[in-house]
Amino acid sequence: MNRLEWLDTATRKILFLPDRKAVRKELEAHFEDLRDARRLDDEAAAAAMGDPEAVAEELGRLHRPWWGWVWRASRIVLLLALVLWLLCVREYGFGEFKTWMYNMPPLPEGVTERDPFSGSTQAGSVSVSEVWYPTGAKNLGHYRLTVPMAWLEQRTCQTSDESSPLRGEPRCRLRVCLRADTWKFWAVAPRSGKMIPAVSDSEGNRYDLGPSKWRTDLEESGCSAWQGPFSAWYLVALELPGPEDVPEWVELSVGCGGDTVRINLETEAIS
Amino acid sequence: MAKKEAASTAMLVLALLKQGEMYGYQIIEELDRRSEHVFQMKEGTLYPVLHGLEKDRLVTAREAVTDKGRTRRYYAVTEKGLWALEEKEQEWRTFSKAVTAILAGA
Repeated sequence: MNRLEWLDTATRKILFLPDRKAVRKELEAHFEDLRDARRLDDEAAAAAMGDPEAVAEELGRLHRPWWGWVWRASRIVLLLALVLWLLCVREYGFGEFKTWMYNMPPLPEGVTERDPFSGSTQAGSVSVSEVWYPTGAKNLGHYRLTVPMAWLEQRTCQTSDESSPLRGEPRCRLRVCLRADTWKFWAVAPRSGKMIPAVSDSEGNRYDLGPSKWRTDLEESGCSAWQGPFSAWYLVALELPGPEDVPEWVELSVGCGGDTVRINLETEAIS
Repeated sequence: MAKKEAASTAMLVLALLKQGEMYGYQIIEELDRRSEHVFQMKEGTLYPVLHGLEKDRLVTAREAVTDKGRTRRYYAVTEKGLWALEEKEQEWRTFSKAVTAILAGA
């Protein structure tokens, strides 16, 4: 075996090319020292250097390429991301996951997306006569609050209690959708309706919502909540006497720290 | 090279480097000379030992260009290397003492 063959064999298991080049250079310098000091030719020097396969094993073990670690780490990250995705889907369901993914607020059953300028649509017992898309955001601690949508809907009371005087009566409800985003996935806003305990409006009305007071059959004012990995949705429903009683603004109490979010329906802005 | 053999060679290399920095061929020659030809290792097998010591931060390396324009890589022991050497020397002394005691009693 000559010098070049020995060097090729001894360094072939160093996969990271810059390392292989540097180690080869060092071994080549040793060959030159052997040649100069002991007057050895190529083959004799190669024999003096020892088994190149054994050297290759050891050098390959020591000189792991950095990208190899990056590749391994990326596979682990990918696996964790897949597991997390599956857990999210399992926990929140495809519907809610789609809601979170596409920034879509949950719409009432039977109501499809509609053009806000096209007037009323009607499907089933629910009709939506007005829609607002408030802009802006409010930051509270590590939460970023937005109000993607609010709408006015009218429906017929659907209570299962046949003796209830409300049964069959027309009802009017203002629906406000609030979204709380945070990057701190371990501290997502609570799922419970306790997040929005009360609402007040420009007419001086106050709505005490309480925790998860929402029940479709009695159709009281209340708040429902959905939770994703990095966001939580809240759908507030406020009973109004009639469609002409829509307030200029509504103010939502958020959490229990006295913070509020005001939604001005006339200007479609939040503050 | 077996692990145990590599560990012993590593200790000897650290002991040599304690005297001052050296390059690969120089280390081989010094090992041979000081041991009076008892430790004659295959030249190429030194480098995995040196690179292993460098990876463990027991030695550092620097490149220098000689008068003849040849690039050499000089190795020097670190403080961590000196502590490791002291530990190995202690282990060796214990081992050596035990062997001597047994042989003396034989």
